[in-house]
Amino acid sequence: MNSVENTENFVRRGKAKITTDPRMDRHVLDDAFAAMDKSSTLKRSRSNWTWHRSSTIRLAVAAMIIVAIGLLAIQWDPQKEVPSEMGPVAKSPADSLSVMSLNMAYRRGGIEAMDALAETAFDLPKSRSAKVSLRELLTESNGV
Amino acid sequence: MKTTKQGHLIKTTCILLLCLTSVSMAKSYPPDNAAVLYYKAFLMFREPSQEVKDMMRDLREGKIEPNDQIKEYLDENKYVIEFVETAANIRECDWGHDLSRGLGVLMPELLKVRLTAFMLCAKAQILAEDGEYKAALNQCLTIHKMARHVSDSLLISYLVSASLNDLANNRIRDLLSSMPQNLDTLTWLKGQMVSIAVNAPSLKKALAVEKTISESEIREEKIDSLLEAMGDDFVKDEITADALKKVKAGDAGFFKDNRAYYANIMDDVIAAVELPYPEAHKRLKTLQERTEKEAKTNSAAIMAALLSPASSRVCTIGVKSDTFFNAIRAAIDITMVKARTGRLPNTLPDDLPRDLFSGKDFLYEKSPDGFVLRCQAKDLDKDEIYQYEFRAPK
Repeated sequence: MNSVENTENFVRRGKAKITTDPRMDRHVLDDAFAAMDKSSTLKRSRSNWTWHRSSTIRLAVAAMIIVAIGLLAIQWDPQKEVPSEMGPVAKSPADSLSVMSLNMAYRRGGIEAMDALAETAFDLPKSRSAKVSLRELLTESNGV
Repeated sequence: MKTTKQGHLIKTTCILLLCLTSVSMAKSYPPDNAAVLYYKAFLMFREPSQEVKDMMRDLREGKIEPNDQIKEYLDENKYVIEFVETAANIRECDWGHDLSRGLGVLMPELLKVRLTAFMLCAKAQILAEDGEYKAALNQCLTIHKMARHVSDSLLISYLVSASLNDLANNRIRDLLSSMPQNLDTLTWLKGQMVSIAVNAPSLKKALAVEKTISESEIREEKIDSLLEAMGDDFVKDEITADALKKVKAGDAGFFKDNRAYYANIMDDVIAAVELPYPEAHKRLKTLQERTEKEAKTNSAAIMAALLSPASSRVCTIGVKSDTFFNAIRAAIDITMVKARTGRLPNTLPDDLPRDLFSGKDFLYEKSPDGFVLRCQAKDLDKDEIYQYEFRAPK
């Protein structure tokens, strides 16, 4: 039998005789207020914890969205849909000043070919375009 | 009394020390090694724009007159020219090559001296336009001296040196044809040319160094870097491609045999370049053809075929350059006769430098506006007889 049926039987049998006392009432009331105060503090601290938890989740979701957008941006780079591979490491211009390189240049086209070699060998690296893709930036900064 | 004497002694010693210090400081410039000043000049060298480069070429070829852009460019490089002029007059020149790197030794100066020589040519032409002929000639002599400073290291240095000599000779010929025939200037120029001739570039020496260095490269452990440096554009036929495969698969024995073959061939080449031109050319051509033929059947000849220079052509280039130099020297003597007598000689003066193609005197011929010096034998590669025309201003 559940508690509701017990209570109904109890009332029907006319056994609901309660003795009251002002001191007892005062005591019960004080206990009730104390319990209520305690309950209220606990609820507030629980509410704070819940709020912190929810903002962490929000931040995590936002971060995930940013990462997702970033990844999509890389995937959808219109200029380079296929991930570009790093080219072979450039030979130092100084290598073209070795005797063998000079010999080969001379064999190819005489002294004029050597003059042409001078133009490339002493050419300083050109400044690169300001338009750099996100992938290139990530590649350069992470070295991957 | 004793104290006074000691005082004098101390003073004298101090003065002597000061004098010695000042003398040693005064002698510290220019340095004993010309390369120090060349490197300094090259550090400050400002490369010409393509436009200025083209203009200087056109100026050399007589297509244009000196202009403001060229003059401005030379002015930007005035300290470079100054350093190079000082360097050229220093006897010793050690470029500090690390020959232990074999054929990988770096020689950036070879390209820089060419660019500097173009600048000196332009300056000579500008000075001539202003009537400063002796100063103009001095620029040409500077190029000749630079050529001697780069000539002996290796075969490629020798070839660059020959190209510089030709640049200078062309300018001197133009100047001789346009300047007033001042006997003092001509006598001075003759003396300068004689002193330059003493240190003439030596093909034999360059080939000997080339042999030593290349021999050390024919080794199993070095072959990959050597082939990489050679690039693959020399592989033009199946035979070369096949030879290359054999080289890549070669063991220590293969390289030992190749070293020995290469050394023998180079010894023959070095001996041949000492012969008179026609014999030298014939012998070198034979050696070259023999090596190429043997490389097809004898694997020991492969590296010699790959590394040996086209020695007959190199020999011709050297003879051509030296013959032009001799023609200039002969022309100076002829012009001196005119400066002294007022007219060109009817026959070639005695004891003049010779045509090295034939080993004989130049053929001398007066022309309506000057004279011509003609070689008596051909350039056997180009089947051409060279002649040098000089104008003789009235």
